Amino acid sequence: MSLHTDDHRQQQAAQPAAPLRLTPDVVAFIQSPVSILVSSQGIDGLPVLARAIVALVTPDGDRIRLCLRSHDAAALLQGAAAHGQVAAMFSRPSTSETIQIKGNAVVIEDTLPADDAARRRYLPAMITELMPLGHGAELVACIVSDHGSPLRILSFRPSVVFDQTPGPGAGEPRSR
Amino acid sequence: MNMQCTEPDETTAAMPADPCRGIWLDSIRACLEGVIPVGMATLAADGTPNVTYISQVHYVDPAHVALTYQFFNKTRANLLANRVARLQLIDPVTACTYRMTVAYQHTETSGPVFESMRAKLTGIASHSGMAGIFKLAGADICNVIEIEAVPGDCLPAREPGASLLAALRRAMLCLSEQQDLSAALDRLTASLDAEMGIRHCAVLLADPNGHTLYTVASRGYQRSGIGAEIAVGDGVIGMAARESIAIRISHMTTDVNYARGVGKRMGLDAAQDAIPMPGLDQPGSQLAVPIRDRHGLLGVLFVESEQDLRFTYDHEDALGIIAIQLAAVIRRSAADVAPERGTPDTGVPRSLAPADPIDIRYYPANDSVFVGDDYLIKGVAGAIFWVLICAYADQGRTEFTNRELRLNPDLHLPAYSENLEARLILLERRLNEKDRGIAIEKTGRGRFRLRVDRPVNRIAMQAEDSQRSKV
Repeated sequence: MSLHTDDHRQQQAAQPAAPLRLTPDVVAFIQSPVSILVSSQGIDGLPVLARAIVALVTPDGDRIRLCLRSHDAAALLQGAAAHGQVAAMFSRPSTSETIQIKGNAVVIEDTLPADDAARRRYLPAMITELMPLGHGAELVACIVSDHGSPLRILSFRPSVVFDQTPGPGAGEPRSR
Repeated sequence: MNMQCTEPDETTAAMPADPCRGIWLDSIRACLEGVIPVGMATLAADGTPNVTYISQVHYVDPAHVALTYQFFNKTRANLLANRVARLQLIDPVTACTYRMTVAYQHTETSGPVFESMRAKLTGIASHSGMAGIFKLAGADICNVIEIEAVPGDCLPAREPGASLLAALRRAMLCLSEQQDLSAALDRLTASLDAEMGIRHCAVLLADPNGHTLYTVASRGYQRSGIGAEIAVGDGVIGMAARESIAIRISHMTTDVNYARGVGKRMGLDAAQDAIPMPGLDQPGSQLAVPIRDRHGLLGVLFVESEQDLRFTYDHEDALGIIAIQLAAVIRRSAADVAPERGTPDTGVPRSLAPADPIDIRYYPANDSVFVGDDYLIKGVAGAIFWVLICAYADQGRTEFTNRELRLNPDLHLPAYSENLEARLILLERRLNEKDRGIAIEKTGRGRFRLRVDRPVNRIAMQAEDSQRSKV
């Protein structure tokens, strides 16, 4: 188990003036075998969260596309669409390296062939990532497979990236 | 686990009793073992979402969990502002996912829950290479509002195998059949091994002074450590005693506060009379459960393993139940029973085999006793031994009763708080380990015999001038 120091301490950094352009290392990281949790405000006014089973950054680097299982992410999809703001955490199990990206301009849409291709790569990559930590392939598959659920894409425009890797720098904005 | 008996209150009464409304927290405790990190979502006052992993979600009771508060970060600010968070948890065996809605109630910065979480966090921090960096600032107690199962595939529950409940029943049966404390301790440690696969364990009893615990039984160690003492409040064992709560570490910790052997030694300098605590060099998991009844703390049952994550909340419960039974046995043994009729003394002095006399040195300052050059015991057990050896030397007595010891003015025993039986067990086991031709043998309820197989020289050590008498 990893030890987490949670999140950012400087909320004022969450409102940058200029649109955020993700750096190549961040793009590479969130498209690598990382655990992804997504949250928003639900329509009941309470926080909602769900697991995404792959992430892709659009070629222009402006938006992040998160693939969600509609059967377990219904409340999140509904809330994010209504609320327009989203937070997504990306964490690599083997190193505990973790970032949180907050954003807005949420759009819920269908998957594209590129999303499906990324998702097919994601499951075996996550098994490879997690097996050395003692988690069996069956367990990993249960956690990150699509379970036969219809899939939806939650696309959003990132506004700020926070470093959440456990350690002294946890909670600091990573880039603007 | 909260070891106290509590009356149902409004919060527990508000728990979902109907499975249709939700899932019992008790049924998903495996999700809280820290094998798979728990996700936590909160909202800022303006509705901005935040999501993170949280280091530890601690089971408090069927209606409450406690969240680690290490830094005042965004998650905590949100929790204080909005009071509600949602957690996403995964069962490490079945992969079933659950979402839990919790409402912040208050923060505890001391006490049983805090100490239990703090001990656990040290193991997690050491495991993560973060020892010394992270400290528990508080335990954020939250009411569990609702738990829902997230739709999706799950694996079968753990394969049928050893049932902890069945093992517990057998262990309890073994314990209940024992007439005296010594036999009960032996059967208990054997049962933990045979029935639950717990290879390393120790039982410590509380000294009535309230400051120390002393080891009366152990199993699975090269050295038994019988007689070893640990201060209340020190390490996993001492903290379980101080807070009257189960303390469990699931990863080896490098935190010196929990490392074995740092307990303050009482009495003489450690060089002379410290018996090392029994223990594994590199424990992966440790669990200490208080032994107590309505009158107070009686001791601690301690188990450990080389494996990480060896013990679970279910083990806390199982050992907690055993501790209740053990408390009854201890309390019964402490009662001042009328001695049974003893084995008739033949009146024929034991013919001693030719052997060199052995010195028995007694230090009144702390009642410590040395047999030859070996430290034997100190404190109440040391004083008892000196009374016995003097009665043997001066009057030729070998048969004794617990009751006469309790009434012996030289021992200054408190009327009811001292467990004489436990002290005699301690003395008996130390004498057996030293194997220097002196032993105590139980001859009936409340009755025992001192066996001395070689000549002894009594030496009462005074501050300036030692007195010596030969037997």
